[in-house]
Amino acid sequence: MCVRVVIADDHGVVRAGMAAILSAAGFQVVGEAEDGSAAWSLLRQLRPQVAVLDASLPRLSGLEVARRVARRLPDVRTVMVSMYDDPAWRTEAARAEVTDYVLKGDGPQALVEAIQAAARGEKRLDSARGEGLPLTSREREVVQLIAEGHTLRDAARILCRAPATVRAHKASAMRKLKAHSTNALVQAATDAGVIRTPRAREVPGV
Amino acid sequence: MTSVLIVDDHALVREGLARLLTRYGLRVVGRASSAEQGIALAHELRPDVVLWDLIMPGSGLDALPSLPQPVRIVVLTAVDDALLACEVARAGAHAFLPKTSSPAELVEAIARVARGETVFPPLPELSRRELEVLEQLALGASNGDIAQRLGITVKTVESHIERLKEKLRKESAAELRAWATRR
Repeated sequence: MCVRVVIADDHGVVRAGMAAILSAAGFQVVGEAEDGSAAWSLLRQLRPQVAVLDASLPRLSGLEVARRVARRLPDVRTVMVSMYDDPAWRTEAARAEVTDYVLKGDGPQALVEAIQAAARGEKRLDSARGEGLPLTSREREVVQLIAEGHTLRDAARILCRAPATVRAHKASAMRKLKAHSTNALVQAATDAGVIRTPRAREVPGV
Repeated sequence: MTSVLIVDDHALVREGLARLLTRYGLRVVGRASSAEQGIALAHELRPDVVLWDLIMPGSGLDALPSLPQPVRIVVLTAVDDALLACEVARAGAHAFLPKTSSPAELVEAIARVARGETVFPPLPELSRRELEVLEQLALGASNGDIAQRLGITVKTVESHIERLKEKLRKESAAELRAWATRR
């Protein structure tokens, strides 16, 4: 039986590379998305057996997409792919019913096996007992969009929520992270590993 | 047929790129997972083009000048940043591509670089004042703070921010601030 897969990764060449690997391994790649919002609408439309989600997708992170899938698309299994081996993210992924967490540093075989297991309905991620991230999913969504430079009004539109709700999530995130300005919030969220985007300062010499 | 050496520390990315480039008719002659291994293989295999990641063990940027001379270098990185592109150009690379590029854009860049061209995003030229304002933004300073620290009016700060937004292709002041803070 041919397993239908959707791949979401904002790196076009990486996504195409994964698609090439998965096609060669006998999976049917039925769709690709470059951010979390696009991934979520594509998944609702295509209902693949397995969704391969990059953890640090723009607009909605892979975690938030997985959480929506777990709640609204019970037939779709999710596999998370990440550059970062971060225990808090693993824990959050397990809570979002992600079936496996594959590192980009692992070879293609790890991803192939994770998708096969997911299609069989196996859960390979440890139960969600560890320490998660310091913010709720709703707060994380808002903070990520702010960090990406969206205004609160845009964030509300993207998340289909009232601006007042989004403002409240931002306020509670600021309280929890003890941040007194938007800049401090973005910085604290980045330091706490809540937002995962590659930064220039990770490049040696810059 | 253009020969390519792929240097990236993520096995999944490396193998994916290898399949992709092969599909587009390029000859993948080697793969390396660190800057050190990449330099050794480049000297041994002498490929036409090296595909080079920046964030990997062994300082991807600092190692660029150690690649053998006639080889053409395409930097493919997760960090899409105009100022980083400047650094990369200065370190001797011939192309700078964000990983968000499409396969066709990557293949096109490899072809152009192999022909002797260079492929860089439009590089912004920032004035000394603009750089100072950018530095302050990165520190999280408000417009009022910046005005005070640089001894200029808030209105002047705002006009510097307007120009920075244009030059660095940022939609809003918030996006510029977020970008500067992350740098």
